[in-house]
Amino acid sequence: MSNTIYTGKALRSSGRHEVVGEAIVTKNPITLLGFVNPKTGEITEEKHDLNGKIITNKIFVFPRGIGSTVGPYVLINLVKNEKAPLVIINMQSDQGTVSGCSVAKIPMAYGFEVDPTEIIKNGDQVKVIIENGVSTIQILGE
Amino acid sequence: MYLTQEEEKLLAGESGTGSQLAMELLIDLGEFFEADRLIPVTSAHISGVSYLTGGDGLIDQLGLFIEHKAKVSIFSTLNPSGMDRKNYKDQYIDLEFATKQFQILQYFNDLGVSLTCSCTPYDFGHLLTKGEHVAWAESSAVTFANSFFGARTNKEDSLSVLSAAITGRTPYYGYHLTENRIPNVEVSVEADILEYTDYSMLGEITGKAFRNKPFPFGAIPVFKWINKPRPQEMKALGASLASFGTHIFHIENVTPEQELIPQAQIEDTLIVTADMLKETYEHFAPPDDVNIAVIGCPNANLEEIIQTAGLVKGKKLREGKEFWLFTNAAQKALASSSGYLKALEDVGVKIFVDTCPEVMPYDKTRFEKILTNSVKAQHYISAPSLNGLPTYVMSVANCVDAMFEEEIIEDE
Repeated sequence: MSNTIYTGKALRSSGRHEVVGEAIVTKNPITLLGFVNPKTGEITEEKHDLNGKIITNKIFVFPRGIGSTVGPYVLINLVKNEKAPLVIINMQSDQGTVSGCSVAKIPMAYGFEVDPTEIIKNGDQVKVIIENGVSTIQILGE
Repeated sequence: MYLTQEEEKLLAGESGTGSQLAMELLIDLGEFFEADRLIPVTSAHISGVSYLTGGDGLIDQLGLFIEHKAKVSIFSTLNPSGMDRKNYKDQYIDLEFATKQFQILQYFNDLGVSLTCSCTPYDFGHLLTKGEHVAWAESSAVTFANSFFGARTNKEDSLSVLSAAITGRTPYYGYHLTENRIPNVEVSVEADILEYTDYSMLGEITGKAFRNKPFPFGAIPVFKWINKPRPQEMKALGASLASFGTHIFHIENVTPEQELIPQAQIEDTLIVTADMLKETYEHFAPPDDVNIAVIGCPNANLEEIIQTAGLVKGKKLREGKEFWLFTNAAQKALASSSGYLKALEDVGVKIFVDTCPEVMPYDKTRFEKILTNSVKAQHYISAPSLNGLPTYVMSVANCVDAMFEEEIIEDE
């Protein structure tokens, strides 16, 4: 277990959350519309390193979303279908992911000094606390 | 973030919960992008209309805004829906899908949005001036607004654009600021770029080359050595680029913000050769027979309709083939009054409005693969969570040749 706590920002509308979960991590951007299945929570992008993986109830760590402006509805549909991730952690992030998380009320953290896709490994147990637009992450172990 | 008194009131819910929800979203976005304030916008183009892409989440979200009596406060047009409102049965779309789609359109109507249902609002009078701040979604339209008009919009998403349309505001960041519109990559075009699909391929080659560069607002190419394109060719170029996160481009001696080109801070360059263009065409070429061609991504304008009518003249559809052309209601009306609609329909072309080749559900018992003249359509039709159908790209002339044969008129 690492004692290091990394502090970043969070969406103000996310409210307060304290979550422990398993991380699913990629360094590659995520295309929400078309390549994340809102009915199953599965990533279905053939050449993506997370192809076939499920994001449901995970701490989902990726650099940013790309692709269609309709992407946010994928996040809303994931929540509606109870297939959403517990928390989304982004490095750069993007408009669609911010809007989707804001409306779908998926807690979202961003703006860390370090690159979360570097420090968090696939399968790590991660603790995330979000409050008043501030977030902290702590890696509890593999 | 600084808020005016009026914005504070909206946030406090003094104008209703609908505009309060919208303000909360804009503030989340503004803080994320470190905007110091919101700015007024003069028009909105709203995406997130098709039941195929939005699903039940879209219906719920619109329902929530309507329950809270939200209304748009600026001129707002709407992106394609999942079907032609009148002729959806000719698209082989069932009543269940249609019922959901009509509900979504009713909700947008209740919100005060014009039900224009097209990705090319600039083709029916939603025009912009240079420097005008707007909130547009639909990635190809955003790229066109920034690059063709020199207007200023970020790539709004379906929720932020709705919030902007309701409040008349958007966070002041990104492409609204001159510094984020300056070219950062240079593309020299050695290949002959002569027609619509060539431009679409040029966008693919350029987008792919810079897709993993860490530019905060995407690669901003300045294109050199290409001939003066027609507006629909710039539309095709922008649509392809937008799939890779580029929402503004400049062309030397063509686009309206020439003054930004000498300020370019070039971090990478690309030379597009004839061989690269040929390889890209080969990559997207159909390996075998396809029984449907779809054109009109983004929606075809009158010039493209006239061109297609010329290509199919004197021909007839091959047995078991279909050729679909997607446009908007305004272009279809003009095509009708000028005779081109009849010419197309007489040879069996199906013309659809209110929708596009990507956001409609295909009947997979009839169509296993799709042919199109647009790389953007290729990306999205083949996306597994949309239609997931293998999709191939050729010029419109080659699409016509694949679906039509010469009509042999026998002499008496």
